[in-house]
Amino acid sequence: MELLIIFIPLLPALAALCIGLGQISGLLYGVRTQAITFHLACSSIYLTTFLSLLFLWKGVNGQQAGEIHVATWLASGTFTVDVSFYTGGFNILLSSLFSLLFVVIFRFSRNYLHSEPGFHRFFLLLSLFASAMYLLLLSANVLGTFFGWELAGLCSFLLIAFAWHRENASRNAYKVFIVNRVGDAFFILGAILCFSWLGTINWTEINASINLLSPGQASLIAFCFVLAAMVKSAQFPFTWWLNRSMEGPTPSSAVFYGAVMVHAGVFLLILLAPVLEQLPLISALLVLVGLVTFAYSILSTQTQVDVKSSLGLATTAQLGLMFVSCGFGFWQFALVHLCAHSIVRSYLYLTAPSILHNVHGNPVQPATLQHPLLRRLSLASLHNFWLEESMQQGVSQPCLNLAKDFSNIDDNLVDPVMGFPTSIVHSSANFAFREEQKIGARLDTGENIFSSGSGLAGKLTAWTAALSGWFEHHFVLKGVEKNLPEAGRRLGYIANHLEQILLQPRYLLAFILITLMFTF
Amino acid sequence: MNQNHSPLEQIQAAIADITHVLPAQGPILDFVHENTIEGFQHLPFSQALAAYEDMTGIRGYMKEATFRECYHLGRITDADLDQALTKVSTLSPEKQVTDSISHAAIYRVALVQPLAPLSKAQLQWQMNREFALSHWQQGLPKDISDSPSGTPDDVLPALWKHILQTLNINSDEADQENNTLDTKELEATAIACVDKLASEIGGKYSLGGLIKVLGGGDILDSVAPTLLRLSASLLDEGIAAWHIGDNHYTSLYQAWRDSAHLDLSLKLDDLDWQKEISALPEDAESAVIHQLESMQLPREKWNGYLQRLCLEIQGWTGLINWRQNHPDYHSVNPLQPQLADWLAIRLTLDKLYLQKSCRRLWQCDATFPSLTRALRRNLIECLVRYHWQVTDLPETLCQQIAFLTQQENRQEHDWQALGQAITALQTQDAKEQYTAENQGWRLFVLCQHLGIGPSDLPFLDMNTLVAMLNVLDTFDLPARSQVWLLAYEFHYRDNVFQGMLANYRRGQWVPREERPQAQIIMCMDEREESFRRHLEELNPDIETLGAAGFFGVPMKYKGLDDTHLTPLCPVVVTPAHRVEEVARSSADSSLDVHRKGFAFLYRYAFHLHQGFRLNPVLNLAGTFVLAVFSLPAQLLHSLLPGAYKAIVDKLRANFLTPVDTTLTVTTESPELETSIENPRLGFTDEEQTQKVGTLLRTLGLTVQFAPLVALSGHGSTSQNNPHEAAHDCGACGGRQGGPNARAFAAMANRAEVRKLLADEGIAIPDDTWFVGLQHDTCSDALTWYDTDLIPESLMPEFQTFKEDMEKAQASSAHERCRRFYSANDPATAQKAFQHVTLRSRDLSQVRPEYGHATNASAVIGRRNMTQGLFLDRRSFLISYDPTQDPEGNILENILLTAGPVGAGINLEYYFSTIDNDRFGCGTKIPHNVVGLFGVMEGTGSDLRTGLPEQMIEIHEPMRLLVIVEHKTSVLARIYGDQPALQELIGGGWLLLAVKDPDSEDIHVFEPESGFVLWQESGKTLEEFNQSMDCYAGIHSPIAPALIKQPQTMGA
Repeated sequence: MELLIIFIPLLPALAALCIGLGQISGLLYGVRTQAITFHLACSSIYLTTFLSLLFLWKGVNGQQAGEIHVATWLASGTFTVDVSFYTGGFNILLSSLFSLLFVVIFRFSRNYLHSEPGFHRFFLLLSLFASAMYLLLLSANVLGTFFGWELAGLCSFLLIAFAWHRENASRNAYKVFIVNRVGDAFFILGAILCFSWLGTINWTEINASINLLSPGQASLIAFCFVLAAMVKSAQFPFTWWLNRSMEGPTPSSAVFYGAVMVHAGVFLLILLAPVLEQLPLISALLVLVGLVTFAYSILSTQTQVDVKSSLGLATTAQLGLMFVSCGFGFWQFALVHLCAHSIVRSYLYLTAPSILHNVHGNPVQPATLQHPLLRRLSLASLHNFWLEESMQQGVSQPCLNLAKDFSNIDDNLVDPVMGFPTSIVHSSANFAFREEQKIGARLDTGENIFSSGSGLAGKLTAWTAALSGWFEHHFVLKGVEKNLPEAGRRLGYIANHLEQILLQPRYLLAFILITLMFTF
Repeated sequence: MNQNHSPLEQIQAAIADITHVLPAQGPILDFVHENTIEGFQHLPFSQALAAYEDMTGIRGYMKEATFRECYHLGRITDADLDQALTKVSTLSPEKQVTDSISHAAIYRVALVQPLAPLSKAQLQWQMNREFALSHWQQGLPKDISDSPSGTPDDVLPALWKHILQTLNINSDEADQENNTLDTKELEATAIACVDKLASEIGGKYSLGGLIKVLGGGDILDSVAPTLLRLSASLLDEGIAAWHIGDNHYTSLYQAWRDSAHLDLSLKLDDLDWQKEISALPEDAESAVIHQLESMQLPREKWNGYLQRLCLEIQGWTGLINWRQNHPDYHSVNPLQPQLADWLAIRLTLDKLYLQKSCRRLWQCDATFPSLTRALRRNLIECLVRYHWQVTDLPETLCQQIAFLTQQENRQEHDWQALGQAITALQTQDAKEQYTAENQGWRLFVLCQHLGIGPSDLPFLDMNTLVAMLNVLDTFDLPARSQVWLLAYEFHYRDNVFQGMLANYRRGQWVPREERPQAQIIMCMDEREESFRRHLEELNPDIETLGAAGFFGVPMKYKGLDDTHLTPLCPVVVTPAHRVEEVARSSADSSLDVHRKGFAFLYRYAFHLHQGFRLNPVLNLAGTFVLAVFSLPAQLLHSLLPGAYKAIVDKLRANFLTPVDTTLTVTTESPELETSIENPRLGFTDEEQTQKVGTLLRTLGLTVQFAPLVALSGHGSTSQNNPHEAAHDCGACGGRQGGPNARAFAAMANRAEVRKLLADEGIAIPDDTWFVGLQHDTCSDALTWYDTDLIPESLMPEFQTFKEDMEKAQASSAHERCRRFYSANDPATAQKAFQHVTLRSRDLSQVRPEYGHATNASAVIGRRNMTQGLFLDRRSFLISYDPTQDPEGNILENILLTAGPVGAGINLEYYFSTIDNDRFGCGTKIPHNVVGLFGVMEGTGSDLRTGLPEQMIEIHEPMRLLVIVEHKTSVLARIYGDQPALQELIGGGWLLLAVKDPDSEDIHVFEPESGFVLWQESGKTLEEFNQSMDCYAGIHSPIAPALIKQPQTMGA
């Protein structure tokens, strides 16, 4: 019975898989098959809703809520990764609530996206996202939550770029995606620290054993997760990404940035409540971040003229308040606030296009700002306090410069020593050339030129390929066809590719960091 | 520009001139259909399209591929194409190339078959992979591909060889000679390119646009966000609480100028801004001049430059321009939008960012002379960059260029090599007069389609082939598009004419010999065509009429719950009277309850939709309260929409208790003068008589009044639809027309008015009663007004009439459902009615109705021309009796009002359909309402104007065919007298046809040659028992068909 829990994240994933396969095979295409896609996606959500409510009902009836170990995924020495889920508690509560909201939004999307070219893709991503959220909510260990966390971020990226041919949409999708990676990096770091210092990545065990650590270590772990939560829930100074994410279809904005995904950060905080309670410094940080976000959002929203930006900022204001509640340790309040907010915000996003008629003849009377200071504030608010521009100038630009430096080092120092990796220009030309040859079927132009490449690895592969070519030419009969040179060529490509990756500056940087870590 | 003008005058004139090129759409709640390229309407249609394309790069015809699709679907036939070919003056289809090959035949092939030149690789592909020499070309007519003259193996290689030989094309590998230009030639090419670019500054390009087309980055990326925030804040009508400027400033420019030094983004972007801002003059127009002068742009380029700046962000500038031209528009924001403000800010920001770009690229200043000098200094680089951005270069070349542009120290010779490579690609064709890929291939395909066999080859000499090529070359894309559009229109037109011919003398009520059971006057709107048809089928004793839906009563109207007056009349009219809905004196107590309920809902809506965003405390507290109700409500709405609707309706009725109201149509102080500025409340008896009399005479309804005469205005109610106003009544300025119907009925029922009318010769019997109602074109609901005032003696008649109306309402809904995918072909009319009822209440429905989509014709004449004809909701029907108006004076008025309205609707649909992304506003899916005045995509795009994809997807873009019932001589007289009609009809924006009232003759008006008698094709029409049989199971457009009439049914 308890094992049924695995179906909650699994069913939407299966639906996504079916839709994906249908798309690849060409079975699900165009308007005629939209009903199939919709029913696949929606019935999986009905089932998960049923299952969630079942577990919730059991919980309400006082049955033992706990966690269930499904399988061991990895075990290496002391390092084990379980596949385990919570079967009760606020995790199930949230998964039930979100299920119900998914029902509303899935059904909403059917008409809303009817006959859009991306209809099937949309439901694929929405199902995948639902699966990711369930995994995030229900997984009892950090890694499972992280998978959900990542996957949800990926779906968000793909849905912001739903109309990928619009430059704005795809550019903003990248911006959002990259900002979210910052949070993910800290999430991973938190997970690594948990494992190396506590020897476990199970949430319950982390919560239980945190007082074994020194306050400094505990704070570092907590800080990592708090930062991840801050990015996901669009807290200051990351608030601006929410504004950038409104390029997707209205229902996806509702589900990601109104109802479900932005609450993941607060969920993570509540999950770590026992840890955070013991760390006054981190709690203070939560209060501070929450308050700043709240103030920032409220001030910014006063000048927003489009309804989605305005709703986004109203959302972050409420999320900020949830952070404050968490900082003060009002966990129950934060949880209730989270639930209530996701319901109401989902409704407000879905009815955003109605605002014209809902407030017709009922406008906001603009305030008269007498004080010059207020007028300055209003200007800053109009520009969202230049938050994005400042981040661009203060964070992105230095990173870009650094990358440029590394690239220079790479070009001037590393490449001459290691040999030049095949450039993209070359490889694409080669690829085109190869295609052409395939079509023209003129593959008899010299037995030894199977691959080209420079640098040590490249040369080595070329030699190997040449050797095998020679081998084939002389020892294997010509009747063996072209399989062997083909394989050799492929090997050459792989080696080139590997070399390219290894020579990229960020990997060099990573190598250096790893070396440093081992040294200390 | 005239140098005698001062710079200021020039700028003012230039800004006034920009109106012609910007979208004319106003705030979205006042959506009125207008010709999308109205600024070009003074030109003939095809010239206007060419001029518009020249300026914006947007083509005004459907894609040729779409036309071909229509051809394959049978929406355009060969006969239509043949007919259309004779109508385009630049073509000469009657000429022959040889005895057996006519121009017409070549044109036909060129239309149906894509005959584009190939690239070398494509030709190779055709030969090696598509086996072009051993297989017939695809799409070859059956009689050619099956002809006994030879198998493809016999014909094709010989043909190909013959063409190549005759044209002296060397197909051997030998022509792979080196095509590269020497340095001199390359330089000459580059100079030509750079000169062309420089000359196009101030026309096709702004300086920023030039940098962009040379791959130097788009400064709009930096400039647009600031401009967009400023414009949005300026135009806002009630979303934001704080605005830029507020009461301290008179113009946006001044507000911005005083605060620009605080703008951190300028600082962050590392610009030399402080000096620039402090040097700005006081007022916007001087600032525009200051900036234009500081970039040393020649005066003659100023107008074009400003126009280009506006066009680059045409949605926002269009609305600012609209507001500037409508200073009376009511807005909460005290600042008055002015285009000059916007331009001054734009020019200043542009300059700051341009300076940075120019420094980075060529170490030059952002002035016109300096930049052009820099272009000349970097000739080859410019040439390469230009082709990089504009031409389709091979990927490898693009990557090399991109790589080179990233390099810090670029060398001239690097560019040289790339320039050589690019020009080599470009000049390959130019050196040879004829090539296999271009002329050879096109002739090869053409000859196959012409059915040229081996025996014909000897006759295909050089001259013949060249002549064929010339015919092909003169038949370019614009010419082909013209032919396609005409053919498309002819196909529809001939079907309609054929229908009218077949329907001749089948309709009823001509002459009106006895009183009908009831009469109903509906809006001329083509959406009411089905309603009228169904009503007539249900009860042939009812007569239906059509008129512009404001029923000749222009008024500023304020409903019981409205906060301000709205004009209810066509946009070209400004009403001089006020009409208000007030409670009848006996209803005071219920009014109080109603007021309280309304005030509660009003506050609730405000808190939910405004307070929740702006007021944090309310947001927090409200969230907890609302969540409890919201989750069940959302689930119910989604899972059981019917039950949800019932509950909401009940709750609403509880809050908004109905009040007995009346309209103040009659003034209490007739002595008061009324004017547009100071409209009087109500009309005098004389004014009422005049309004009622005019409409009745226009309709030809002057005798045989039925006991009941209903007037049906219309509107549309849908959910979650920013474009709702676009579905409302165009004749009421994009609003709901029910109040006009109600006001007209109230006037026509007054004894004083009837007495005065009788004096004018219109005798309305005492037992005739007028009743107003509103038809919701989305849910098909009918709202009756003042039914309690109907005399007791007429109640039985009214009840029967109402029942007929309710049946017609369901049948009409059924017909509409054939176009709705999610309606899933409802079995009965009742089910269809349920579907449209819930559809109009569905939050997720982006196609609540299709509005005017599929509109294609307008019939001005007696209903008997069209009664009994299934017109598929495609015809505006305007009632007019030519026998009562021999001089055509009434007709002249109808044409002058209905013509522009119909053309506006039709042309907006036309343009939004042919290029939905550029003329329309794209799909609704990512739309985001901004400032209560428009929509944009996401949070940072241009304001989107035009119609969304969901409104036009079933539209067939063709010009409106106006069919008038009268003598051609009268029409010729009216045409001669009215310049407005000459522009519309003579320019080909409307197509005019005239049906003779006394015979079967139909004349078509051709601007060059006048009225031409239309020749019938003798096609017979199908006849059905009822409308439902015409469309059963069909989801695509349906040609006119006959519906059995009482006479023919033997009734």
